[in-house]
Amino acid sequence: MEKKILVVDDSRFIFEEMKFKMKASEEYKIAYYCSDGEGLLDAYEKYRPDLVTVDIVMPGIDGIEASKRLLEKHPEARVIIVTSMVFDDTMEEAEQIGALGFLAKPFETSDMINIFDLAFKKQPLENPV
Amino acid sequence: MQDREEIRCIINDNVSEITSRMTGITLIESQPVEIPDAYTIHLCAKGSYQFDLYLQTDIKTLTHIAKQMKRKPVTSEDIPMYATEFFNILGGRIVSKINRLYQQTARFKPPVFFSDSFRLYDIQEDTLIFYYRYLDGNVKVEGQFSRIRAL
Repeated sequence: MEKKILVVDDSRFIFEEMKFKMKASEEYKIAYYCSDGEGLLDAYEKYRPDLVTVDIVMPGIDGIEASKRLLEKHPEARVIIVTSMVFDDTMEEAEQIGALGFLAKPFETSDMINIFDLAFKKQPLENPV
Repeated sequence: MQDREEIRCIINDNVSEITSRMTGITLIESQPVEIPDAYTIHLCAKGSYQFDLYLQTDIKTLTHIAKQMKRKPVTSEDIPMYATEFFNILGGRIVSKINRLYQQTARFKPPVFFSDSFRLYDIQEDTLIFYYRYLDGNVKVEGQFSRIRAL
């Protein structure tokens, strides 16, 4: 069955880019978009996506804090951090809150598929935060 | 002095690589040139150091960048969104590499787009400045790195 993905990013470009790169996929559908961290929890509860991708650099609360709030309430959520800020501190922080992987911008289609596949092989933490 | 050279390489390498990967545009380093009616994108990373990165270019080049990213014709309303996302990714790559180089941490908020030659500070002696050309467009990139010292 097709897995539905919620994209959280202040720039709609990333949502459009993911949709374009995944248009041939029968396994993943880039289905929903949310433009800020504050809206993530509501969007998750409304759409119940199979996976959420979250940008780190956003106005208001950043992607790490937004993911932390989501995972506190929904530890079953599968979260992938999508960012150009790939360095050790951020990766450690993302792992600690229970994110299942990192996708570095800019990315190719194969990078997306690999990280999504990996996220579905891992089990979300029960109490990640 | 060593800081300056290392950061110069990080900026220059990433400007070329990320521009090419995201837009297919090959920038060529050029001589200093004035860019009439330039637009500006600014990013400021703060933490255990401060790093300001500016990109100035003309509307033709910005339109081309946006068109390549969107893969469709763009309107003037599209330009700031594509320009800031391009710069967000470029800046993120540069700041990550500086973080790794110095084993320090700085983070930034989303870049800001200005419809003029905005500048937050005067050019310093150690400001790194790069000029590039692409077809008949020009791009200027400035980087200002400051270590934050404990008093």
